[in-house]
Amino acid sequence: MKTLRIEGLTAEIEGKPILKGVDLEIKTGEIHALMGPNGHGKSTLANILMGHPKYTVTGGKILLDGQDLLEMDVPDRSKAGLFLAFQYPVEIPGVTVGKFLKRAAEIHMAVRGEKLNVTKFIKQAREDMSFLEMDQQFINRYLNEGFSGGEKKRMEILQLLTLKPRFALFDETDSGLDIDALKVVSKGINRLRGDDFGALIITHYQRILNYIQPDFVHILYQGRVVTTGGSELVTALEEKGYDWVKEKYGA
Amino acid sequence: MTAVKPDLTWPGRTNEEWRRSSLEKFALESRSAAGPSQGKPAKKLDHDPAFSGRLSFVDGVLAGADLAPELVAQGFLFGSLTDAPALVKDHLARGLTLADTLASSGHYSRVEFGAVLVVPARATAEAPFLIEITENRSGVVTTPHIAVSLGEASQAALVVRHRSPEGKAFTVDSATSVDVGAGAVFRLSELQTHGRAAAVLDHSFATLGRDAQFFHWCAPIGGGVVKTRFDFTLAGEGSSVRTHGLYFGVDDQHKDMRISLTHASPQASSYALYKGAVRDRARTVFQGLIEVKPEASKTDAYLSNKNLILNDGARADSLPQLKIDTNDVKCSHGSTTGKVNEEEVYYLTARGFSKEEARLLIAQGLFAELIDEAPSFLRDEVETLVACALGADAHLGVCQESE
Repeated sequence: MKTLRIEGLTAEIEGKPILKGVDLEIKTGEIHALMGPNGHGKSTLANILMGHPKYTVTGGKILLDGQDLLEMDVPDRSKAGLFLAFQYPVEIPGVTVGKFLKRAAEIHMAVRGEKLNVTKFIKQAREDMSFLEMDQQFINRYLNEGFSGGEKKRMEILQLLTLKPRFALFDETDSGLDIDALKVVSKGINRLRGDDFGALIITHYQRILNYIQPDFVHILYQGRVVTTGGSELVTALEEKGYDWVKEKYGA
Repeated sequence: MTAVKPDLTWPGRTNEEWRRSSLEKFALESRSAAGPSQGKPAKKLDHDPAFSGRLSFVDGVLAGADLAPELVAQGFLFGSLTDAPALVKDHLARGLTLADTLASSGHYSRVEFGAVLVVPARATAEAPFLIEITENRSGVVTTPHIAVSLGEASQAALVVRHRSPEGKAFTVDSATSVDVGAGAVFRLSELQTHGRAAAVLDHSFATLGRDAQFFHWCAPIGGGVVKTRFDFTLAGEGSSVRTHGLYFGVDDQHKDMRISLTHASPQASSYALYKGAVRDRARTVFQGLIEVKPEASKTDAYLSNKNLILNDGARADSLPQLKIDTNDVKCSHGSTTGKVNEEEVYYLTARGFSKEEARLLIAQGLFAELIDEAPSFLRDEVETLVACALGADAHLGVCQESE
């Protein structure tokens, strides 16, 4: 069992504090949901974990299985087994999905001292694509270029299945998805669910949690995790909305 | 065979075309004409079915030649300038009318060697023709010319390679003239891989007949100072030009590209896509002009120039221009100059790519659509040249160190 532990994390962007002391621990084998109103630090937390250069960490610790994540650069965090499914995956013109995926897989296999077998890789990628109900032609398209919102999110999940990280962060992966796409994306996440995989599902709404049952639910409000519970928290939010959080935890 | 136009002067400091490039660096006045080399007679090359014909010039001499026998029988001509004196004379005279300074007219008074391709009316050559021009001499001005004429409704493709080894300081003043007859389809691809000590002046011009189609691709990779000028004239109704260029500035390279597309009849279309990247202390200049004459109604023209600045200190100028003298046209031009997008770098690094590899991959991606337009047999080589120009040395281990 491995752990991703966040302790007293404070962070800001351009001098504006966003995280004001976040504590959270995720173990492999667990799925956590991080909910909360928009603008209270959910996406910031995801990007700080991954290492986006525009945020400044002002205090606290992030430990990935004891290793100090804040001392690692972005590629090393990825190679250490952390994955971020982007809320807005960028388009990279001229770089095909096939070339990108193969190289990413190669980089991650090299960490384990393995070499990529091209035939095996292509076979697996094709299987994963059909599992995610993606057209095989995607392999020749330029990464995310001209993809619909749903296609971009499926591409994130295809990368997830290819890289098989230890911990994955899903930054509003459900936003902008129709119900069919949401089911497919959830199916992809559920496929990795198991003793060697931990996840943090960041979402504003409960609907993705109808397909992926979280073990723990946290509410991030005004830069802090104000409460942690089980699926009863999701039900409470569904019934009462975020006003209830504001009333109970608002400053 | 040469042509002279009186009353021209050297371009002065205020000459718009030459404002950003130093004429002195081309040493046209200080270096003397290479003159005819004492070459051996051309060797008959073995026929390679991948090509309709091949011509190889080394140091101004035709060193090897081949033309598919069935094309000889159909009346194709593929040989030296001296094989078609009347046609060459006409092309040089027309080239000279486009020259407005001694810098651009010199070629026509000095042409020393070169090639002719004549494609008979209604004939089709499936495989491309290949001309290789290699220069090993130093301290001279060498002046090759290529003249191409496609008869009505004919089809052909020509690949021209200009190259020289590192360390040879010379000037090449080349030109290519093209006539695409009515309904003919021609594809011209030019790859230039001179050494860094070379100064390169190049002028290509093409005239299109009714419904003619001209596909043009160029990659001026090498040379220390490079000034290219393309003049494409859509003279025939319904004709079309698609021109693609990719260019790089590395170390102290200076590259100045000028392309002029003249719409001189109705219903013609032109598409120009040029992309460059600069790093170190290099500078590139792109000047693009779409000119629509009063008679060219229903023109459809598009000109795009994109530049990637890989580090501070490198510079790329982009000067697209429209000159429209009629209504009822669809013309657009665009130009972007910028650095590698850091959000894209973040995305790739979040998948484990190092920052350097991410930047290179993104930069290479910018050129993918232009590499795809290269002749298929050159594509791998061009891909490597592009990667090296973008600074891939450490990753590929195949890039030559320049001096």
